[in-house]
Amino acid sequence: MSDTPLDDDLHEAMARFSAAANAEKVELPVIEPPAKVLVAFDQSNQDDSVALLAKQVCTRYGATAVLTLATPGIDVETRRKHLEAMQAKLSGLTCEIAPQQDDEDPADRIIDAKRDSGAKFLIMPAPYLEDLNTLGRDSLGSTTERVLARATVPVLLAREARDDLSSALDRPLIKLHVRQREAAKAMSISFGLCGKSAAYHMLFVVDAGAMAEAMALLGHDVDESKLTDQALLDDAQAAAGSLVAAGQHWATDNGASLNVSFKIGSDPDVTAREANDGGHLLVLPCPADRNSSAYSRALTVLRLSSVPVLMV
Amino acid sequence: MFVASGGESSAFEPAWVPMAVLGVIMVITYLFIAFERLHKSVSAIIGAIAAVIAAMAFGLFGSGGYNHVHEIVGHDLNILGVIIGTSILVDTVGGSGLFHFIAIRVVKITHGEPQKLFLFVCVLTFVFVSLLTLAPGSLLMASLVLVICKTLNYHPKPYLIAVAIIANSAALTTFSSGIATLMIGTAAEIPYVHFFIGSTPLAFATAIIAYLVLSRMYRKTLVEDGKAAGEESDRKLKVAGFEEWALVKNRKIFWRSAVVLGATVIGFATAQMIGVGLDFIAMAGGMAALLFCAGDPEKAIKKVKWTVILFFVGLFVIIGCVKSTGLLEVTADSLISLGGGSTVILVSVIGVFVMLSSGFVDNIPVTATMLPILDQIAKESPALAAPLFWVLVGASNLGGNGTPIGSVSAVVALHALETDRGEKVGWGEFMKAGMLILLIQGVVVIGYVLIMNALGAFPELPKYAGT
Repeated sequence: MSDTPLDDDLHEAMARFSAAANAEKVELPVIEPPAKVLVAFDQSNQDDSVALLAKQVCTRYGATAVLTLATPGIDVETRRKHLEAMQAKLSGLTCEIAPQQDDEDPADRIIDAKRDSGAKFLIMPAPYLEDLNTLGRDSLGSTTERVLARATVPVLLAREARDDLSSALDRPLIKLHVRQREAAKAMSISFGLCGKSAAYHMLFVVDAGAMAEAMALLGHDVDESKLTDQALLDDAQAAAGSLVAAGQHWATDNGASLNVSFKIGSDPDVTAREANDGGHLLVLPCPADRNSSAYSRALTVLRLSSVPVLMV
Repeated sequence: MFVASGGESSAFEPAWVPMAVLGVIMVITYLFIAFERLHKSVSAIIGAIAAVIAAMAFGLFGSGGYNHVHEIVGHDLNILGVIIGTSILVDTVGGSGLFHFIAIRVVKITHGEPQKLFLFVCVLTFVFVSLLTLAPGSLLMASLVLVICKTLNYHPKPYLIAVAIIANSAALTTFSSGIATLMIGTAAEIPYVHFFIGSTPLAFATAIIAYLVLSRMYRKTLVEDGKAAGEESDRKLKVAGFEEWALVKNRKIFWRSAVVLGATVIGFATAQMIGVGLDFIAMAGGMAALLFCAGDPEKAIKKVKWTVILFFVGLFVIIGCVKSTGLLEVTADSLISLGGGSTVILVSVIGVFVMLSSGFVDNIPVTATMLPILDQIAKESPALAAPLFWVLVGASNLGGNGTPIGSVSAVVALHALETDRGEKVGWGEFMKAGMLILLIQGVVVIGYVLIMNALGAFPELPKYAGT
């Protein structure tokens, strides 16, 4: 970014003060906890993870769990038995069994069950096939993608059955982009779900490659020498002041722990690695525009994540 | 030893050739440092190599041979330890947003009112430099000034010149506030608490002088800035909107940083009482910061100004070699002769010489050179120890106010202005304020030292007591 170490230090210090000077007040939206949570199973080996997460979510929200089996072609008796077995894992919760849907497509079944039950939160499995990670779409499952494309409520996706799954909600990792419209909502939902006692992490990832590409596409001259890691991190920090302040204000008011970090690298790789290594609940703001590159990027992060992912 | 009076052995035969050769090497090195024909660290190391070669050629190291060089460097390792430890501490604690947070909180109190802001910039500069030392403290303040002035549409020049000048007063607040202060305190073994009598009052007095002169000099600019920046209510709104929490990444680490910094400051104050050196406290503080404040060891250690460390090593070696020729004793004796036994003359001569030379050469080599000279004088005349070392503290730190290249704070502040606004402050413009302030400060420093000495108010320096 600069000619001398003094310039680097100056740029870093100015970026920090700029974060304070340019920060705009971000109001975290008040989001009522859902009264009902739709819990979708698919008879896969992820159903236990779904039940485990559903128990935690419904307990924290004080919500009724509405259970459904999304797999088509299952006879009524098998369906009943499976859902009862799952219900047994949710002991202590108020549970309902959603009426059986006739749709052939599991995604349609889930969306219809959500609509019919009035659930405002959805928990479902999303296959995590470690060996197929590099194959992209295949590792996520088309049902998940179709549900996400149509869901209008937060969707919590159970991925790998990890040992640390039962405490993931105590370690939420909120992945944010500066100037992202859904950021405040994602923060608000995370705070509402995970509560005051969780140890929150807010992560901003600076993707130098993506930035250079975007600048080039917009017709800006890219001076590679100015895209040093430290300079990019400084700029990101200066731009993220509003969200950081909103998070810290909430944490201060509620006596919660919140750690903010800025990382540099390929956005999906860095985010997924941070989440997987820390055994976090990964919270991803999900742009309303499902054709946007931000939405595709969120799906890529989701594919690479072995931890539960909350798409908001 | 070659001594004019009262010495243990007046039969010393000065070796003029080695003195001349080593003296020339030292002067040439200082000229290179002053005019920056080479990087100052490179100049110092090359000067040190030349000095060692010359000293060995003249057999000045005695039977120990080259090992004497290690002894020279080892003698001042504590200074290097303090620089390294505080550098790690400041970088790690600074990463928590603690200082930035405090700065923004304080700025909000001013509501952006230019004169108030000017006062608070001076106060913050004083506090931060006292705690963080000159370079990080002035960098923090220079960046704060640029951002605030950009937001409020003020001209940053008066504020940055204030940072440049007030910082030098702050550097003499405590034992560890400035590198020159630290060098003097270490060499003369001055207890930490003595600084509260010897130099803290000077720090406050000279800072107030600087503030009064600068606020009067720039009053018109400050008033015009206030008018040109628009409605008072808009300005207040902008400042009220500054969000200090945007700077805090982790509140736990933020508070831990405050504790670690506070404990280190207390450690500095009590180090001598508990029988450890300041380097131990600085290193312990630095490591505590890395352990408890989520410091990144790689980053923090990289941020240590290794060029400054090399600069010091070179300088110490040169001065150690020159000292072994007896040149510094000769200079000490000449100074005593020049003073004719008068403390007033000696304090004034040394005060003025150090102030003027520090304005043009880096104050570190000036201080490093003066220390063995004053040490020699103090050993010969212990009564002169306190006034001479205290005048050196004041003069070496404040001398940099005279020119735009005389101090780290001026270099940082003016470079920041040029980098961010493309605006240069010429020598004439800077010296108009700097020299006037230096003149008044010089009178105050010399006057204070002489009055305190006459009143017997300076505590005796333990190192020279009973010699």
